Amino acid sequence: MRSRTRTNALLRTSRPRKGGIIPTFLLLGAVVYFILPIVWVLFASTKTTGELFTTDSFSFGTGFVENIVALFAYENGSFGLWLANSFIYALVGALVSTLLSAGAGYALALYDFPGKKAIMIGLLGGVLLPTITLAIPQYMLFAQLGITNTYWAVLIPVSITPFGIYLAYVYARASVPGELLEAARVDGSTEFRTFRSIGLPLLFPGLVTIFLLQFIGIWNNFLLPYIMQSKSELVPITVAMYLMLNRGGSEPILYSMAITGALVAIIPVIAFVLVLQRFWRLDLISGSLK
Amino acid sequence: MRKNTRLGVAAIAALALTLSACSASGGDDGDTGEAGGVVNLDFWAWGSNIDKRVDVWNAANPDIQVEISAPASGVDMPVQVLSAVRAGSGPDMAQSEFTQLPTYVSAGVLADLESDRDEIVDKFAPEVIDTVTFDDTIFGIPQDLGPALLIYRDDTFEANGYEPPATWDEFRALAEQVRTLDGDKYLLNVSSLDADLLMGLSLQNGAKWWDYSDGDWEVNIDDDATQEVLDYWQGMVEDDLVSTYQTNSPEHIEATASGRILANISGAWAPGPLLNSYPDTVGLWAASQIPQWDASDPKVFARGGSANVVLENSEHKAEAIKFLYWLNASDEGAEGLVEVNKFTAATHGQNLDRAAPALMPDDDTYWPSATEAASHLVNVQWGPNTQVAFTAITDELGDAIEGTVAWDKVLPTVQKVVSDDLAK
Amino acid sequence: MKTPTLRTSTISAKRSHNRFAYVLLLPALILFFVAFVVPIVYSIVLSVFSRRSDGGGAFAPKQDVFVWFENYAGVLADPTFWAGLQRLGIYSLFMVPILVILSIALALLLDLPKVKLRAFSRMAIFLPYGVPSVIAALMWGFLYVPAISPIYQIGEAFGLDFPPLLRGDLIYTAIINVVLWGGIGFNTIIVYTALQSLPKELIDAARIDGCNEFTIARYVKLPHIVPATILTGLFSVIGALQVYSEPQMLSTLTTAINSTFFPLMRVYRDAFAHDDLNSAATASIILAVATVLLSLLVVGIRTLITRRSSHAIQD
Repeated sequence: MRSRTRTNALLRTSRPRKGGIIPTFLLLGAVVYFILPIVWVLFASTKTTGELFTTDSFSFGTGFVENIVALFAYENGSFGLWLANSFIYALVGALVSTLLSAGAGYALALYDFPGKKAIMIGLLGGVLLPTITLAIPQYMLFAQLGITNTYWAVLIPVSITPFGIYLAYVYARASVPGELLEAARVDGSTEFRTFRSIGLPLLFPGLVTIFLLQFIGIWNNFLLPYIMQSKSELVPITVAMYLMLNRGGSEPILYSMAITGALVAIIPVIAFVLVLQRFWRLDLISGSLK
Repeated sequence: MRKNTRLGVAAIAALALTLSACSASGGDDGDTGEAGGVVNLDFWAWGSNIDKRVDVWNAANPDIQVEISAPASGVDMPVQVLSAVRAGSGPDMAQSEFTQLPTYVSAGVLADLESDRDEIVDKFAPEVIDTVTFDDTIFGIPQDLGPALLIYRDDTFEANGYEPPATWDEFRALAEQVRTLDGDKYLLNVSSLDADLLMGLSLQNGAKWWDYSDGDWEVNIDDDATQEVLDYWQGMVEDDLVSTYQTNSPEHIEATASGRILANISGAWAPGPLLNSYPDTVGLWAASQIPQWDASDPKVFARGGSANVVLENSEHKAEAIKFLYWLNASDEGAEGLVEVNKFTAATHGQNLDRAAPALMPDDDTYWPSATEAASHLVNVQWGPNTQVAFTAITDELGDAIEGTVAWDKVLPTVQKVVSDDLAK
Repeated sequence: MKTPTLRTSTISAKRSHNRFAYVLLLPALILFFVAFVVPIVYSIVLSVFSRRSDGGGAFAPKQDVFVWFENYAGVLADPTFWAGLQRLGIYSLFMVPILVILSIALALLLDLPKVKLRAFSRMAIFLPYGVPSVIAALMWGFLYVPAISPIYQIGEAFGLDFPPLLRGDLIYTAIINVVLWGGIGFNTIIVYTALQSLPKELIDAARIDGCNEFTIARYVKLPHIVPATILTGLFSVIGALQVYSEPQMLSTLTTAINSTFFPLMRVYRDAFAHDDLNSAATASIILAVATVLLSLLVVGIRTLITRRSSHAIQD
């Protein structure tokens, strides 16, 4: 007791008041680096095409309203649709993949059944396989099935994430004790009820992380929707941005609009990240490699 | 938690049902072919303002309704069309750049338009018909054309007493003079994206890259005519007489906007994009014919331009041909295209009196110059793997400009790639 | 009238329990089959076929032909494929260590006790993770143009002449920078979170013993985050081998990136510019196999290191 009080007293007096200047300075340098492009986009989106290439970077232009109007009028008001598509793909995809991961992870963590090893190895292969090398064969397969150019073409591939299953598995192992399940069984609970009322609530924090990771991953995905969708009404914001600059040949390149589009496109996700960052359980990820 | 799960599941189920409804209707490409009813045609096209023309047609033709959609695939559209067609969900008609046509033809997905050959041939110059003819069969109706013109900053030229160059020798001399001006100016910019420019310039010099005889293809990219053109531009790049920004990159646009790049060789469609990128330069540009090797024998090539094709899978080919003919070949169609600022492939449209482009509001000679350029177009013989050649040149040219590949390796490499691909 | 022994009842109970496990797994397995297994098999099939025209006219349509391993030979003999791999190697060789080192450095900085504005910095560092790589490449594309970029202008003000990044060998810097910008935040947070699991008493005891922050970082914190570091290393390697969106977007801004700059770009070009799905499938398979092998290698190294460090701790 006495030594702890003494240690606490020492700690209190030994906390320095200055000396954090250099690290803070370094961190602020990093912060500037990370925020600079976003700030730049903020200023650039206020400029007309003419001003974009002729005025100073950190000055406000006169074209903000004009750019926004043009942006949302582009291609008969498609920009709003593209944002909606991004939301649909990300939200539905993240929800479905989280649910699937929850079930699969729980099953793998808490049950021992024939074929379990084979499934785990298969899933591990899925984790190691680059998702992007899958996109082209998926496209070829889906084209044969005739489901390219539908919402399914993107939703199906993003709804299954071996990494999500793996995270759920790790989390289930860590947070759902086998004894709890045994106790529930002895009490006469069915497996499903146990899962629903005991397992899922315990898994919930980990599931939020999986959901958030998937949401951002799908939102930022470019190659899959680019390959799968050729109808303008189905593409998400990432593909739309690329196309604004790559219509080909004799079409004008719409830099001003693209920059304004970039601004509008990153606002939702940045807000998302900011608001929800305290719900991240990323220790889940670093703990997964034990 | 339970309530949330149930709500969540219900929400997903509802969403899934809605989406399958959407995709069911969205996937309904092609038409519904009711006997005696309305024929619905699917048209995949990206050209700006074509939808206005489609509206005009739809209003006048209630029995043949066209739905136009802009495919989200930019320069890679052909393969997306092909995949859709192979999966049975392709459109009835599509827009295709001239350089993309061989890809469609080799894939065997286009309907030929021989049934209307006479009417079509009547409306276009022979060289223009050549661009849509393969194996002596017509596979598309040309829409717009981009005969090459030299577009230059008239204000700078006047201020320094320059005249637009008539030959390539004069061009080079002018480029040297421009370099002596204040402000690090260049006469022109070249980049790897100008592979089609190289193609065109070689054509201008008499090159014939593909030749079909005795049932076999012969590839002649590595020939004297093309080499001469390449040598010329190698000289321009190595002597720092041209800038080498990537075409239409921010660097390039900044340099042009600040007046550092004085000219470009573009198709007749240039004023629209130029106005869009450089709105402050209205009235400062002028156009002239491109430089020639031999001023007495002018030859012009096309940069850009597109045609419309009918897919073999379409269940309403006759109606599709009817629509496309009206859109691109008929006098009324040509006039409509002119109204939306296209330089038409149809001869009638080229000969119309039209207002000067918005970029050069006082220049009444612009469109006549374009027509004159079009009258000197050289014949083009495309090979079946034009796209392969295209990407090969883009890559090799880019590497040569960057200095990572020797210039004299460019043509042999491209030749090998293209002929190997054909030999497969 | 044999009463069931405890053992058999346990076994049958287990079997009915396991049925539920299968039920839970079924949707995931079905989707895995559809989205992973079938496409892989399909692309293997595609890789042994080719579309050839059989003569009969200049523009004769092509047919599918079984060609054994000709496609593989073709891809492996193609210099542009190896050039792409070589570039990928150079890119990864720089990108991965820098990413891992910077993530660790930033995490350590964030973890220092006297640092101010910790929460704000953490948030700012993580922000780029939410920006799609296509948009990031667009933004940086502008920032790479000397004439209009604030970075170059500031450099000029300080008398520094930053070289243009969009040509020559510096193009690697241009690409790596965009990737780092978007990726450091995620890895930093992983390492930082791992640091939080270090018992406070350990660090405080070290401080009382008179250790300064450097020593603490080196002997206490770093060893603790080795697993997290391996993890970020693995992510970075896999990510590096799959690099696609950033160079694809940047290629519209510079002559220095051609259509086969990285292997995946070549795959894309084959599939979508040349309508040669067979060659694209072949190259995809070669790349996928290489990636899996490399990932296994990294995981193997990680097992070795953790095994060794756990032995060290035991000693």
